[in-house]
Amino acid sequence: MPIGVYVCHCGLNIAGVLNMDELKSFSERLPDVAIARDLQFSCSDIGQEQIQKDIADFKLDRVVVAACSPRLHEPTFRRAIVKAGLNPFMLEMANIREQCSWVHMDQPAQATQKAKDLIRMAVAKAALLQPLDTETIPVSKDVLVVGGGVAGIQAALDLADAGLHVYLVERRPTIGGYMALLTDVFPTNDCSICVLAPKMSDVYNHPNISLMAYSEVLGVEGSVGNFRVSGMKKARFVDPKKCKGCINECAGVCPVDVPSEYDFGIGKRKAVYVPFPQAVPLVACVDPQACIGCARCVEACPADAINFEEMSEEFKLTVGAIIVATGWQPFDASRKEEYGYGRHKDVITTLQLERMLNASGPTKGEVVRPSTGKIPKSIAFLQCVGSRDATVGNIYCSRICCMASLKNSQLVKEKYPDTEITIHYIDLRAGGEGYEEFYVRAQNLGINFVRGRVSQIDEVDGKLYLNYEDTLSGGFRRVAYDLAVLSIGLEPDRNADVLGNLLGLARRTDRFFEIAHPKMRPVEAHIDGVFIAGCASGPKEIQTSIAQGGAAAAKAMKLLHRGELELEPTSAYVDRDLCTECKLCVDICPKRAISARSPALVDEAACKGCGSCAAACPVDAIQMRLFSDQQILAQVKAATQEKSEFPLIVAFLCNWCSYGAADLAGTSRIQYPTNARNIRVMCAGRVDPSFVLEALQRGADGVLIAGCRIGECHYVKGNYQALQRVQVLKGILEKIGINPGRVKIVWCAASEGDIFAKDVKQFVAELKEMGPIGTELKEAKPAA
Amino acid sequence: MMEIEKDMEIEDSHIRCKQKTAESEKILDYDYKKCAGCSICVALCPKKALQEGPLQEIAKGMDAPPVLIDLDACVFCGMCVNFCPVRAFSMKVKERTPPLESASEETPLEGTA
Repeated sequence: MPIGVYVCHCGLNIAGVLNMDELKSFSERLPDVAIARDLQFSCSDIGQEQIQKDIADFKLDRVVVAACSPRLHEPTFRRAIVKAGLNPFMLEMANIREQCSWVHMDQPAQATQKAKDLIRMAVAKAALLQPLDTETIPVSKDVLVVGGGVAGIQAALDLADAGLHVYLVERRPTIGGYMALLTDVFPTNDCSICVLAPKMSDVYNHPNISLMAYSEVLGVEGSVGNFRVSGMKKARFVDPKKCKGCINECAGVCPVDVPSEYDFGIGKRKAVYVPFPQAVPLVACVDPQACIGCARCVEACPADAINFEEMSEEFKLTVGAIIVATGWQPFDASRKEEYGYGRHKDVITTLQLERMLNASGPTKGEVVRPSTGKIPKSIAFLQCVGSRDATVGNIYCSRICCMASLKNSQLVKEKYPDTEITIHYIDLRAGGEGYEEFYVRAQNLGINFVRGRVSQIDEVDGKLYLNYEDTLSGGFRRVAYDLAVLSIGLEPDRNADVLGNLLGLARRTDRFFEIAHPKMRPVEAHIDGVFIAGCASGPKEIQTSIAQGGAAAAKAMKLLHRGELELEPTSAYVDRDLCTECKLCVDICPKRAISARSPALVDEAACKGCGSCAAACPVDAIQMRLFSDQQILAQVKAATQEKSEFPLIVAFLCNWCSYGAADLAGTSRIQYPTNARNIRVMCAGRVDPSFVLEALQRGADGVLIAGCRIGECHYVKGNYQALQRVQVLKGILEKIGINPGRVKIVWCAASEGDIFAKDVKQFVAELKEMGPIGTELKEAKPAA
Repeated sequence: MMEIEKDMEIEDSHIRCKQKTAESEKILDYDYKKCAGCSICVALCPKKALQEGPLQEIAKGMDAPPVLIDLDACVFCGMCVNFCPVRAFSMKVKERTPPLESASEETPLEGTA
């Protein structure tokens, strides 16, 4: 079986740290290797052509590429070898970039040694690879879009125009999101609702869109191509078929006033209400929390549309893809106590100012001081309230607030030229087409800019006093204003937590949903078939949200338009002769893919290849097509063949979280010790205790098993199963005199590269304390 | 906008508040002799249309209602009726057109608009 080994320079990304000549000559001497080369960029056309040429020239039947993470370029190289006539699964990658050169930059010699071990492990596994056939499954061409803000609207319209059916689920009684509530928008100061309303009505009238307003998703099962979604359509107590949207008939007689959430507390609405005049669907809604049941609206409605007997309804959908466009929520300004929001009446937020400036808002377009109802003579804008502020846990920039304040200050100045306006900023960020020009326009209008974060607002005799340090001219100041506008930042919408947990979406440290790659995959989630658009993945302006909505729609189309999907042949299968019909596997399988026949039978379409059954099977009757026992054991043997450093750690990383975390440590250049030899498995639950024993027996000083965080397993409970097995194993080790601390199980999400690095560092320190494997046996003897 | 007429009359110990619309007539009857003055209704009235009367004087023998009704504020929601522990409040609803029974059933109504 001639194997070709290709060691990639990746420019200087790998070659800048590792000794490429040494790796190449090392690879040449490995068993079964027919040719080893070092390539500048193996993923480039030239690199791929070289591999294809060698497959023909040297009759290679399997290929090892030592380069970046297989999570990045495995598909690339699989395609390359397919073109040369090989089965795509005859490829193995050694991750010497993310998990070696990028994380051991200051230890080139040890990193090169680690890379040699990783290549030896890959070659050993490659020798045992089997050709596999991919299967195709039919998929639903329907798409679920969650969130009816501008990003969700754009995604829904693009998909529907392309001929896919869309279910647009919106939590509130109307779509439109925050954009529907804004006044004019930057950088052109055109009317927000005027450009959004036509899209909203397109959604309502599109034959391919089922608009499900006032509904929430409460359950998601299944996976890419066939998500089974369940949820609840909340009772409106108004029949949408009868309601004409005239609104004043019912709301006019309603005796209940409550603060309107659509005016952010400055306006009021009735218990029966239409959120705003352009709402879609234009159907009234009774707020059951506020309604006192007087039934005046029932009598007043000329269409008899109000029905207090209405109940919430469950719905069930099957969709092929899900677009998460759940948006954001405003920072709670009262958390910045020093600004007195909620105590001082004339301290308001950007959103409240937006509503005042809005012609259909509570003040009909007038900007007034809430304490007096009069037009303010001086207004201060305070930037970065709840953004770039570690004291409230939000280190990130909310990106739109500088532009929003520039815009609002211009609108106010144009309306009331005599009003003095000052913007208090830390840095003014106006990056975007036409944004800097917009900033200059504000300057030319006579708006003042003061650099320095305001430390406090106090109120004396109905005047607001801002205390701040002017960091440009120097000196502390105390200046009086009539009105202070807090430029509040954007936070991820808490209401999206349910959906995030159902789908298993990862979150960044800023708590927004994490995308699959911070640059290259901006609208894809870590979960196949799930896409993220708009502010759900971080603060964004309207333009970018629309672009992302369109991008997510395009990705969903690409995924589903053929109506079928190729599945990786990663499934388990049962060796009929070995199965003792103990049925352990039946309960272990998270997908219920194994049925208790005689012998056990795996439904290979339902099986997702986690391998927990294979780890649990007491007679090793269950095997995996990919990541087989033999392949993993070969990697363990190769990792321990030459004990090149102390302590030597054999690490099993789950494909979805920990392996991603190790890759992220690489892309983030987080440095940690070189001692771990990583083996990728589909799930922590795949780690058979025999792998661990094999590693320790062969001289590994420690074994690390890293899985998804508890509760976040891609296969629901694989990490619990791994934990249970490790605990049993530790007991056994203790009995035979091996320190149970040599086996360590840790959890990290794909977003937690720093935690993975810390775990490795700590384990290395612990193992140094313990000494080489077997030390404890020698110590025990004289004592006995 | 729907027109609403209100009216109040007093007969013996009964204070009767009436609300008339094109569709219905509601009569809220408060029999103050039954009233124990517990003021639960005052606490829960969503429109704050009910107030405590001169409770101390009433306890000493004064003939006056323990609860005062602000007819302008009352919206005839019936919460006082439902919560009164001594049933001092009662409400009658007369449907004009259409009758109440057909409105509460799920059969669709003829639109009046």
